[in-house]
Amino acid sequence: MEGSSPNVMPTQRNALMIGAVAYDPKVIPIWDIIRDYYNRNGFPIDYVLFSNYEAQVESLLNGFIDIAWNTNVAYVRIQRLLEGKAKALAMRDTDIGFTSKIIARTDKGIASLADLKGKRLALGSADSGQAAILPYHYVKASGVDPETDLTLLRYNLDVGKHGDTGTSELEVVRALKQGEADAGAIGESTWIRLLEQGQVNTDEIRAIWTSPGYSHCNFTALPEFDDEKARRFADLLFAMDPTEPEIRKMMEMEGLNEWVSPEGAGLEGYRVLFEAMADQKL
Amino acid sequence: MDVHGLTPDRQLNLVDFPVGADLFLLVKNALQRMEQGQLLEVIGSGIEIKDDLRSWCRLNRHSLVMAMDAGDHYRFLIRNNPVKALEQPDWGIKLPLRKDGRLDIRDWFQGRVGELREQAPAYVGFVPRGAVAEPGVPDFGFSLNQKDDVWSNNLLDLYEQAKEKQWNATTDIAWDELPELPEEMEWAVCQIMTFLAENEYSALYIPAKFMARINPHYIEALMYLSTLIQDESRHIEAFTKRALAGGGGLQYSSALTERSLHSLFIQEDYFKSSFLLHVLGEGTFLDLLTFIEEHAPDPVTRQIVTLAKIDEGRHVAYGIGHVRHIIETHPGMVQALVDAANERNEYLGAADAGENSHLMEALAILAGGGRTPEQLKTGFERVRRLKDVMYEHRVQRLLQIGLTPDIAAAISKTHTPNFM
Repeated sequence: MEGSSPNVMPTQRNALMIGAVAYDPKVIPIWDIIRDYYNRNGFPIDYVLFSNYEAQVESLLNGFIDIAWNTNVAYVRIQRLLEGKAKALAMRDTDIGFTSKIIARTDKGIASLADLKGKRLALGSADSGQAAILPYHYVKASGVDPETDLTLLRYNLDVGKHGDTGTSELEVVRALKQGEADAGAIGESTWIRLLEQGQVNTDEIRAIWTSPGYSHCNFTALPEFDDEKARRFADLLFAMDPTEPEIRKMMEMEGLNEWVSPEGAGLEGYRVLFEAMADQKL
Repeated sequence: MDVHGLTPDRQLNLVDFPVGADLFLLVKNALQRMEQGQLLEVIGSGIEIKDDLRSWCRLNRHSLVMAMDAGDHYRFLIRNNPVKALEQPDWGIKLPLRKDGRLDIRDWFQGRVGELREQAPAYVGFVPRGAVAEPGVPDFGFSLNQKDDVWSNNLLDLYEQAKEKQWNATTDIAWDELPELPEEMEWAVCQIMTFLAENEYSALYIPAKFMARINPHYIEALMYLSTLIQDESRHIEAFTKRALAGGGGLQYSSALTERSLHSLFIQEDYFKSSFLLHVLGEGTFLDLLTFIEEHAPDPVTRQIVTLAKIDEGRHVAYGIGHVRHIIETHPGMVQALVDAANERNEYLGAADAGENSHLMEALAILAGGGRTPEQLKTGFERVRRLKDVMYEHRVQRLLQIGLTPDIAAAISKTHTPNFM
């Protein structure tokens, strides 16, 4: 043991430390696969899991981790603290053009956002971009004031995980099914998965409105993070071969087809969330 | 959206399908059957599926390029854009029939099924050779991944023969013709049957141990080996039944036999194992079965060993074919065979395993016709001649696989006194 320990410790200290939030047990295999991939490619990384995004944001800011796998809400908070200078290194292809949907019971005569007036609208967790913050913003922008024109029902579950667990969205669907709510907000990935699994009968509940596309998660680093390391980190993500079984498994669990650069549409897609969070004082 | 110049490559009529599991499944499958960049036209009844379809496309990296009102229905154009398009399976290859309407396995090597590679593809899993796999098949960890590891030029012939020659130890043996033998002769038969069954356990277990290591790309090798294993199981059944049928019973097992079989069982190299078991072991067994057949005191014993011998002949032929093929292509592998024989002898020589005394006596009684001193003397003389014949035949088989006469003689001379 004495002989081998000097070889182990420096490697771990040299490894880039990535932070992610443990919203589901599958987060461990996801990150084990990613870590093994980087180590195989001569770019050692390790990861640390947080129970909530607020702790992860703090750890990025104080240098405990080098890169954070952030939700859009966490990213906006970091950018506000750093005057927009934090670096977004990469995102999933599915993070760009993400949408939220307003779903409604088909027996309530709701065919547009305007029809939400006087109805009960279910929102997911207050810190979920897709299930609460952005739907609220878009409904309000359409001219329906969520505070006065309708009854807002909030289903706050797994707060701190920014909607990653999807449990609050499932609560929204349950509330509609059981007649607790007339309409609700849901992220498109959860909605499509429910449809694919046959868990929603579209004769009873239907998506009546889809938001414009916005951006979801990204890998965030501090402004002073080394550009060369950032480039290598991102290039290795982009080079992942989705036909390789372990990579494929990770991509399915993480919900992507390929990693892409945030430049352009990716970064552009956060603007609406900056506005929404400022407006909602979040 | 400029709709001019967009010609769909395929059409999927889903009028009346609500958005849901079935619709997405059909769209996904249709796209998987298309080339990268091709256009799928989905016909749906209402515009309300548009947004959900667009979301599904985005999450799956496809793009909904257009939704068109066509009066009583809608047309949605989806561009197929997977990270990597799947290969496409065969369609339209019809296998030829042989006379009497036979569909022979030797004729199925057509199209993608016929693409038998020297090195099996990685991550093939249990995807049948010829089928198209989605990416993401896990590594099953097969270790015999080369054609040379398992193939033999006579493999397919042997497989077809094996199916023809299957027999049933319950109904194909004339059990009702078993006579009552003098007690010493019945004992000799029972002792011999005990020994035969015991050896066949090893001949069943050893190939079975390797089967799960063979890459399914070489499924024909597995198919053949499953007939071989079925043969051995039938032999165990028949030999055991013969020992029990005449009122005798299973007799003695020797430490020599068990150690000898253990030395086969622990061999982890398929090439060496195939050589030791099929060429040397079962080869020698052929001579033993011929000897028992010749001196069998009753028609039931004779019929069983005659049928078993035909089966064993196929096993030896596979072993010879397989080992010879490797020696031809890799002459350096001869040394591995010498090593295999030496390793086994070292293992067996490490302890004084004694001898197979009950079996030797039983063979002498069988060959001498009884237990009187004169009969035993004749019997032992015949057993000695049997060993000479076994030695000679082993040398011939070793020459057949491509060994030089001196190596063949050396290996044959040191072969285990257990025969198998």
